Amino acid sequence: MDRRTFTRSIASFFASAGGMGFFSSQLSAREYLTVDQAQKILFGGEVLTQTRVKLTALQKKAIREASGIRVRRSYLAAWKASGGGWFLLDQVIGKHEYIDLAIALSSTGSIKGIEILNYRESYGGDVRHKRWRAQFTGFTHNKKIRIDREVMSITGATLSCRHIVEGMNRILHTWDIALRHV
Amino acid sequence: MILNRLMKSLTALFLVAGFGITASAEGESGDQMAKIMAMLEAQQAEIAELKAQLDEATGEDEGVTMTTNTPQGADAVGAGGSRWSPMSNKRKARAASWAERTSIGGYGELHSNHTNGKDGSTSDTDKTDFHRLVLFVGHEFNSWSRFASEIEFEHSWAGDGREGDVVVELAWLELDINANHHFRAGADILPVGIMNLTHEPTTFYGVERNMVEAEIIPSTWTEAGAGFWGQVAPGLNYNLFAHTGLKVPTSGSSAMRVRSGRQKVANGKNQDIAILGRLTYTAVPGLELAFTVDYQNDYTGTSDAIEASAYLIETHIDYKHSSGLGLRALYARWDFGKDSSQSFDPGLWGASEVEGWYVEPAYRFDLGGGIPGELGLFVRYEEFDERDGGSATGAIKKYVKHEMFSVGANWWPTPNIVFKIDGQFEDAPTSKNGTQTGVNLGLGFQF
Repeated sequence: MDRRTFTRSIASFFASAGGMGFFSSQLSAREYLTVDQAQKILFGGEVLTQTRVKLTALQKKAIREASGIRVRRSYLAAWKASGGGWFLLDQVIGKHEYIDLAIALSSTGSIKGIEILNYRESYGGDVRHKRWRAQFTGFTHNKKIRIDREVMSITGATLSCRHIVEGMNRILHTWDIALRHV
Repeated sequence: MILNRLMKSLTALFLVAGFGITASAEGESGDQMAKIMAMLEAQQAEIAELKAQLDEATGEDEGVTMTTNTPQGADAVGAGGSRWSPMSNKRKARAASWAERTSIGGYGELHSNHTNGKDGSTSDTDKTDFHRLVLFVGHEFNSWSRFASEIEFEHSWAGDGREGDVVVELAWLELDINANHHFRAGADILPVGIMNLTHEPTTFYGVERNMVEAEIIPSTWTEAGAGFWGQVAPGLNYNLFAHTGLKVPTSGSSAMRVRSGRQKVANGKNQDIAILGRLTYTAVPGLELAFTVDYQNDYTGTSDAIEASAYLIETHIDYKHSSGLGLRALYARWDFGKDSSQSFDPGLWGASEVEGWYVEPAYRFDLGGGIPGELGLFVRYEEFDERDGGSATGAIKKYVKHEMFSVGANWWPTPNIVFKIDGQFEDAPTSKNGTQTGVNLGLGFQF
């Protein structure tokens, strides 16, 4: 194929791709869910009451020692569910960018589900797929979640997967130390 | 700014209070006292408001409700920063600081290679080399556009007569079309193979990258271009990228060496266009299956009279099991066309088809007994075509089959640091150049 014909073919393909409506949506961030949507998915009809929880220095230290992960923030973005569970918002760093998470814990502190609200990395967007997130269901603070053991990583996104796992371990111990008796 | 206002209000409060006390001591009228008290109350109210704003800015606000996300409306396009953050109780849609939107990272590796040339026809290798140090800088312009770059410093010392190089490995701009589709343009590493995209030293076994991906694909392969990537369905992703093509030499000591066809977006001249398409399946946790095709419209470049196309097909599996077992297998093949009108035939170099494949089982496990981290053991068998034909001037280096067997270990004391050792055993029955067999040592890190 001569060069001019080939170049025209490429240009017309991309023009068609644009015409297929790829650009019909406004440009928008990689926001997959809003907080409201995540709450409905994870807790359905339960009433969620925002609850102010500030971690004390002692609690932060205890969580760090139990999970092995530093606690960077004192205030939890937490809602208590009418059934006794908790809806939490959290943020971990992937490889270079932040990942925004929503976590549902049962009344006994086990993971009911997690949802990815925002994922900004170029690779590893599959963390938001149901099958990958389902790996976390049922874990409690009694068993450490390990990457490529209890939760398998995604090729090219090992750091993102690892940091989500570390974040979940931190959250589980946060429930045990700070939320269990609230 | 809030602090400045607060300080001014506090100062005014103290001045007013002091004046009030003084005036009282001097027996001023009740009306004047009432005015002073009113001023004090007004100052106190302003201080309370400023404190609230300060608490909001630092995330220590007391008892303010969290705002929930709202769907992004048209007027929000281009608004900088995240619209939600759990870090402060009440953060409205305001731009994050430059530092929060800029990220820095990198990786590096040091190698020590000690191999013997076989049959005396190849010189031994005995060297220590800081093979690469790569720095990553990325920036989010807003929530739907970003920039990423990697600068690579190779072999420690660049300059005249030195081995080193400074290379832009990637530098691209990306726009999110929506949550599932993205547009990218710039200099980018092509989405082909395993190691072209993921090659931090902590992510692969062996000190050196495998020969199949290094020579056949050829990693690391960066081109300028533009294209789309995203998700077709959950667990099924695509890449479609039009890019600058190879310029494979057709004469000299590097004739028909694919790796020598890379221009690295360095004043690349006379490159024809190429197009790459890839599908990746990741629906099963721990598994990646991929298939890539790259079409080169004129793989020798446009400055010569030869017009010959080529295409690359590549497919691989990368699997990790929860037991610690892992498996990588990859196959890649170039088909190079000829141009009869110019009497050009890649078959002269045995390069009508240039292919390679490898299989690499591994096992990774926690070290016990107080030793931190994990150990991984691997074996790898590779078959690949490599040019061979001696170093005499004008010698035609034809492709011959090489085999390489490697065995070794990686120790990760912590996930972002790795120490490596491996033995390589290379064989090529019809080789004139010989092969390399020996031991390699290495360390690597990423952050």
